[in-house]
Amino acid sequence: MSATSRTLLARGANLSAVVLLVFGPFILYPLGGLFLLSVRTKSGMSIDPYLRFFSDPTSLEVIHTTLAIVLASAAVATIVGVALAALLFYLPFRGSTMLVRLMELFVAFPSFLVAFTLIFLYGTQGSVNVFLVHTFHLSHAPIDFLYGFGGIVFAEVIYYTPFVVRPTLTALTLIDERVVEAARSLGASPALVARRVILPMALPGIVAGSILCFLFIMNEFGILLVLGSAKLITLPLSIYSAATVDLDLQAAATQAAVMLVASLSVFVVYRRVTRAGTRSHARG
Amino acid sequence: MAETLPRAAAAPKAAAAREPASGVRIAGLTVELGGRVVLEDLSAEVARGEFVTVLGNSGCGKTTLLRYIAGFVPARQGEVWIGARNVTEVPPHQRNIGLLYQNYALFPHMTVFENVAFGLRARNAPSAEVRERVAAALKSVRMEGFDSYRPAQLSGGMQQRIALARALVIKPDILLLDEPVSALDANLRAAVRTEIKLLHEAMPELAVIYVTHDREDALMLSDRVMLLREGRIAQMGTPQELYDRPRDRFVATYLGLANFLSPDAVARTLPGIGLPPRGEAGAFCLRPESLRLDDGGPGRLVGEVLRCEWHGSAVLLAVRSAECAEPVMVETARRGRVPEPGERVVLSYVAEDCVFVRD
Amino acid sequence: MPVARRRTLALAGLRFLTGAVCLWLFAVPGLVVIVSAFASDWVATVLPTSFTLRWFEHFDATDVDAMLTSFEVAGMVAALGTILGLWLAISLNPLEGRRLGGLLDAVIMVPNSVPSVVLGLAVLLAYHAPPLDISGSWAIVVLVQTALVMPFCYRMCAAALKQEIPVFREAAASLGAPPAMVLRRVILPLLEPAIRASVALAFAFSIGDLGATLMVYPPGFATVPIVVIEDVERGFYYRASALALILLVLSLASLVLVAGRGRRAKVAAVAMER
Repeated sequence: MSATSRTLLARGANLSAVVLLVFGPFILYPLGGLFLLSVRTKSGMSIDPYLRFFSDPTSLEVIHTTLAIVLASAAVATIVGVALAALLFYLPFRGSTMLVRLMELFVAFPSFLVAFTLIFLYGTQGSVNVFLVHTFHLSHAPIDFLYGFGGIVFAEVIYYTPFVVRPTLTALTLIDERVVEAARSLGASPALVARRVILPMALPGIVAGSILCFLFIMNEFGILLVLGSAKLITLPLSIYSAATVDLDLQAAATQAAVMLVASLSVFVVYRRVTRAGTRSHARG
Repeated sequence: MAETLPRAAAAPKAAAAREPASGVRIAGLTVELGGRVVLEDLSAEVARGEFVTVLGNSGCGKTTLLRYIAGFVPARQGEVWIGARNVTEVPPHQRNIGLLYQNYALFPHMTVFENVAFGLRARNAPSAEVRERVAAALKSVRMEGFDSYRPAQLSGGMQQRIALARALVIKPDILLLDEPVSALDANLRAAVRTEIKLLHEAMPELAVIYVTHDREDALMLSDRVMLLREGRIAQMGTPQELYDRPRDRFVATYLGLANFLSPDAVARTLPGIGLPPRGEAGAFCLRPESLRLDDGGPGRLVGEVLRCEWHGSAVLLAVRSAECAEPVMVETARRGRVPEPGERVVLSYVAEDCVFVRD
Repeated sequence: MPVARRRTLALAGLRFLTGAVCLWLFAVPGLVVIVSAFASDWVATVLPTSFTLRWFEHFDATDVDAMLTSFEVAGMVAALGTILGLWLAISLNPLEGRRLGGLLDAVIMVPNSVPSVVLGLAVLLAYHAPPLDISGSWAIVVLVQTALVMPFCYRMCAAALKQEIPVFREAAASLGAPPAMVLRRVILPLLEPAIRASVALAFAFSIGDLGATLMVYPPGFATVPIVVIEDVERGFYYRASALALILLVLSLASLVLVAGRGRRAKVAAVAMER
């Protein structure tokens, strides 16, 4: 046997081992089992659980809530993130790199803690309310948005804005300064340069960050566990309560399967976008 | 090939000690990368002690050829022999080659000493021998005393020399160099070129394959040049052969400036020249230095000077002539009178300088 | 006022605003955890009136158990996740640019692209019944968290293997080093920064995970985030803060000490951008 085919054989054996020992037990077996359980009913395999889920007004409400929170949070996080990244990049000041590093440390900060700290600040007994009541001699707390749509979106925006800032900063850094200078030398105003040169060049990075942010907000659990209420239940929260409170594993598995499909669809879109981005970079 | 024989004969002792002689032979090589044929049915031989430059534009397959010889690129077809050994199926680490990268590829986590010693350790050399040979190798590239430096502490030229020492200390059968001077600035480039030339002369049995896109490298260093074009050999021969007797237009222009006169134009301006075989499309190539600014003949071209280019040691004239679609380039010494733009001039040439090249 | 002067002032204002918004959004959460962990009382006042170590002194057996569990689990997850991630990265490296490689690469990233509760539920369902029932042991917590951090560990090593290492690996092979020597003497030493970063990130993620662990943890294996959440739900805010502070210190320490300076940006790039 030749050396080349021996190498190929060893490589094949190793790859099989990887699939068998890593992909199998950690990814494929659990997630595959989830799908199996979701379609296994007393009367055999059936898609009834899905039909039941999608015809139940409660679950439609859950989907609606999830989408509303995700769209609002991702939109705000994208706008704030892009604005902050552009300001930090084009108007640097002493300490601005420190701020970027601070944002990077958010990877080590559990999301539910962000929600928790908001209680100290914006809860009805929180500092901000106390301050306002004392200063303006009010009879009751003026700010009361925390345990509702606004509070959840606020927490999501705080936690996930860095996920837009980072890739936007990276995209801005990658823009060749000479291209910007060339545009300026051709007589373009700063506004025109921003709109016609910088934005199109940074757009792939911004879109990628925004989609990733969308995916993570959709998957978010901790923030909703702290700030969510009976009225505001998103899909991950609903899966959690179906499994641990109602102890209805079948319903939990069905919802989880729906969630899985939704998340993976967004993930596929993200891969497409980033792949296209790197490919056009490589060509250019 | 003839050029290499005297050198090989000059070192009969070394040749006897290292039987079998180790040149490189490539037969019928076809390489396909990502669905694209990069090298097509390429066969060539590099003799022991020979310095061959592989020349070509980026994307012509020259680096792929080098990496194939080193064992890093799989071939669809073909064989490679080092000396009498068929190494087609031999993994890279058993081929006994020296490889020098454009960016040196010194291991950043090792000292200079450890970098140079790496190949000897891979061959399980005893430590006393390792020390001795590393010291000798560093001395040969004038880098003794830098043993404990890290690559990052050295300049580009120094890193280059360490990389050379690392590649040569293992006494490779062949040395493969991938654009070793293109990352250096012009002055350093000339110095390193000379250094490589001297090192090769000190190791007369070592076959060297040197990949470059720079014709200066090729003309100055090599015993023979292999000019690649789109994965095929455009022409292989001594630098003089490629320069003076190019096979086609591509070879002629790659090696330097060339004027192309149609067979009809030559027949009109130089009576009695042998015309090319019937049915072959092509032109006669005339180098700028083969044209004289006088009417001494026998070939004569009449034209008007368009512009003069100052090239330091010589002056290059662009002359518009009715016999040639492109301006005719003429090199003339800067001494004596240089015609001015607009002036009418007569150019003369001889039949021996006209080479028929295919399109 | 001259135009140039007005412009300078406006820019200074913008800079100040940027800094203020960043601090407000991203620094205040951390500060609140610190302040509340040491506050003796923070009700009906803008800032705590006095500070105390009481909340740390009064940790009970549950809290201490949770800290030990978190620490042990995170250590195991960091080690296991990094080993598996390294193995995946080295195994998939030759498939770079091929369809199978792209597919496997995407599948590895799946656990991090689905909600942690979904992953937790799937692992719970898969391992609470024969053929393999580990739902009563710490192993299920380690398993689910390893699945969760593996994508990052893999990415960290894969990025280094793809960008920095191929040329050195070839140089080593050309010098006659057999594959085992290339791995030991060249690839692994050059991967060291990536491995450290992977360990740090896996440790931080593992210690801070809530969703997946909440789904699978057997009685007696609650981790710090779970105890913190329970405290928050019962209104024990200061104790929750004190525990949370310990959690934060542990995960920041791992990032700073293990990943080391200058590697943090890389960690953030992998964690936030992929």
